[in-house]
Amino acid sequence: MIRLENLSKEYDEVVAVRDLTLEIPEGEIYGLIGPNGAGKTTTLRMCCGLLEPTTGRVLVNNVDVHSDLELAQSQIGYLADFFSVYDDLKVWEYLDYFARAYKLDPAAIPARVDEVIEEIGLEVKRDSMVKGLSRGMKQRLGIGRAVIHRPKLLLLDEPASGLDPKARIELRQLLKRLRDNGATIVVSSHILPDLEDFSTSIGVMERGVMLRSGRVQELRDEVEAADARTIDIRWLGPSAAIGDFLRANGITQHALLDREGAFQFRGDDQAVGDLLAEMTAAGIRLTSFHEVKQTVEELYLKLSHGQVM
Amino acid sequence: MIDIKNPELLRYVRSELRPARVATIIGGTLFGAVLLALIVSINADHRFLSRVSYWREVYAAVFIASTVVLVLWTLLNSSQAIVGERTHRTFDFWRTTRLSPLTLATGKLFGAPIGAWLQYATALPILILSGLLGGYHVTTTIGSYLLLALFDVALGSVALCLSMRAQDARRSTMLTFIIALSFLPNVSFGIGGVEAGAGLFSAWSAMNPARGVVAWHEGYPMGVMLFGHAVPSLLLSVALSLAVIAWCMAALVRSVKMEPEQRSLFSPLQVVGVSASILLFVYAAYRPFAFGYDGVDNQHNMSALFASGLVATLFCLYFTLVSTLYSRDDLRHGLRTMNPGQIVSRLVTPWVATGMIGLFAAAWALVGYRHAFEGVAVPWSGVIGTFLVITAYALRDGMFLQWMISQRVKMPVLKGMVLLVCYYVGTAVMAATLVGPDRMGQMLRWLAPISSDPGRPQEVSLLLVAAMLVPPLATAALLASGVFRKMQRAAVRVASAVNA
Repeated sequence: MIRLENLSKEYDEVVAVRDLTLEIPEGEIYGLIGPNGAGKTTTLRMCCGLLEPTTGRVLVNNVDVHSDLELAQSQIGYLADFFSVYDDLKVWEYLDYFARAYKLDPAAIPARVDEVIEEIGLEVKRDSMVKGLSRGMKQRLGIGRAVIHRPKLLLLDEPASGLDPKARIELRQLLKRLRDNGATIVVSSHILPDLEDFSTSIGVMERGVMLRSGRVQELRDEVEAADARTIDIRWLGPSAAIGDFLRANGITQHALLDREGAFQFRGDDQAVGDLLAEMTAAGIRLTSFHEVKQTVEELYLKLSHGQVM
Repeated sequence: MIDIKNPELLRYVRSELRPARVATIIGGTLFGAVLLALIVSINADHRFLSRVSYWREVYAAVFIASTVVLVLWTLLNSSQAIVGERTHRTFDFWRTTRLSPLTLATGKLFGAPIGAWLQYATALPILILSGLLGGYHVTTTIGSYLLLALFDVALGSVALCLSMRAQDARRSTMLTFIIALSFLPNVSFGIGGVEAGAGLFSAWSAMNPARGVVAWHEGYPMGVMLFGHAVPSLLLSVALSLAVIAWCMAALVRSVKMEPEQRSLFSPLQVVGVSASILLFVYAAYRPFAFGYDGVDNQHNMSALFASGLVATLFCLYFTLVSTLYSRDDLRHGLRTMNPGQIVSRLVTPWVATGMIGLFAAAWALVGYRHAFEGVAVPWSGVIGTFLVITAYALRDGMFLQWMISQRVKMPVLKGMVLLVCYYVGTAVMAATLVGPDRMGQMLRWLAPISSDPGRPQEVSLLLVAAMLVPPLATAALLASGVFRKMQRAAVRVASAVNA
């Protein structure tokens, strides 16, 4: 869907993005994560043609963004990190303006505007002035603007920053709906829990360099293979039996309370399965046994080797 | 034509012309017209004021008021139209849409002052009615109305260009108003006020159509002298307005979807084109004084023509320099694909071209207007030498500005220009101190030849011209090597940062 080839951007003598090569297939929700100043915004702005790369190129659906800007932009929806909206328009007028600006068929514009208004959940505000909307609603309207022309690729730069928890939940639901509708989405964020629910792939950027990139599960497996896994358990009966069992199996890192606890275990899925079978065979009455998955935040910390945050 | 399907224009129509605002504008205009009619009535001495005169005064008051409101409103809104999008962070939105630069530019040109246009349109029926009652032909009213509208569009396009380049809305508005206020009264009543004989005015007066419009209403067509021939002033006003609009639209189409630092206002070719247009107009507007005896006025005519051409060429040269300088990034990127020699040749080509156009225009004017200084020999070697030398000095100054840019100073062009002004003033003071004011020109010919007496070109030997070219060109070469040494070091630093 989108391919970045040896992309670099220099501002005077500052290198904002260094030799970035990346390919994001269709249907992915790609989370671009990193601290402020990592080069996420610069990367996204180059992807949508707002910035010209110093070297390298961006291909969207095999269209070079900088040599055929108009064709590429017809396939891209972009939401900037800090943005404003035209306050003196009504909600439907705002979307209508962008539908015309993206050269949609004039006859189809009213229906498309209504469709997007419904999609972003602003039906009751259709005829309200934009200046009367809350921050979260304006954010959703911004996303509505970005998808009005049914782009195949959606680039969202820090879409959740500055939103209250309720607006964040609504935004997350909206992005999930867009994902379900088949859009390829690239979301940059430094608020990692925002990406937790819906990212299928992530890339970790720091100081203009892509440290790691890949599918979330693959990266998780990679990290977990190198690290101890955390197993959360609950049981019936005395804690001492559990402690004895774990020590007998060489598991020394554990924290056990009355009927619940967790321990660190090194091994693959097969080993985890064997351990569970042995515990059951040893007469331990487990009521719960599950592995605590790494959050994106933990993955990020491990992938970036704790250099920042 | 204005296309109402233009999304940008439609946006302005929707946001600026909501029913309440439309009612306010129309009501305000009608109320203003009634108020003006009452004021005229109160101030008039009814014993002497005829009905026709009364309506003429009402007509003039409404016409002036609605035009002034249109112009001020246009300047204010247009000067904020693009920079406002940047400061309000809506700029990136329309940069990512498929709106073409031409659609955006025309949408902004007519859309930003849409309220002013409504006010102006509301005034038209009042003008036609009061004009008819005042004895003016309807074609005079509508013709003047359209002409002033065109003039307003030209001013609006200049304001939009400034808005495109400015970093903040306040600066853009201030600059727009300074430009508008500085040239409107001067052109109309200063340069244009001097008659060129036989009832003809200077072509400069046509830059502001107000005087021509007044003359049209008074029943005599105002003529201006263009290339030594009488031309209707209003016709020239239309041509000038269209030329300004055309150049501004060229600049807008080139850069409206870019950040100001991403692209210069004009391409090098366009800059040279603008310079050629300015030179053409300066020579076209030249007015010979009446012929005298003993060749005194003839000598004066030639000196005036030469001096005005020289000043215009200098203006065009420095306009070209400032418009075509490379940013540090452009230089560093250029060095990746080109060698310094190629970059220098690309850089100086428009400068040299402008200097040569200035020279050819001067030669053409001296030949074309030779009837105005018959009997006075044109010192061709002096003319050619002077233009070559000022071009060489412009090259040096341009390279100095480029060197300032390569030094990472803030506002390098502004600071560089200030230093150059100090240098030229300093050389003048030094010359006056060393050789005395009488022979200052001779001294300045070496230090800063453009300060030597520009009105009196003298025959000079080719050897002298060649000798005068050496110091500026050598300095320019030294500065160029300094620029590229600096930029190559910067490129190495960046490359090592990328590799790291």
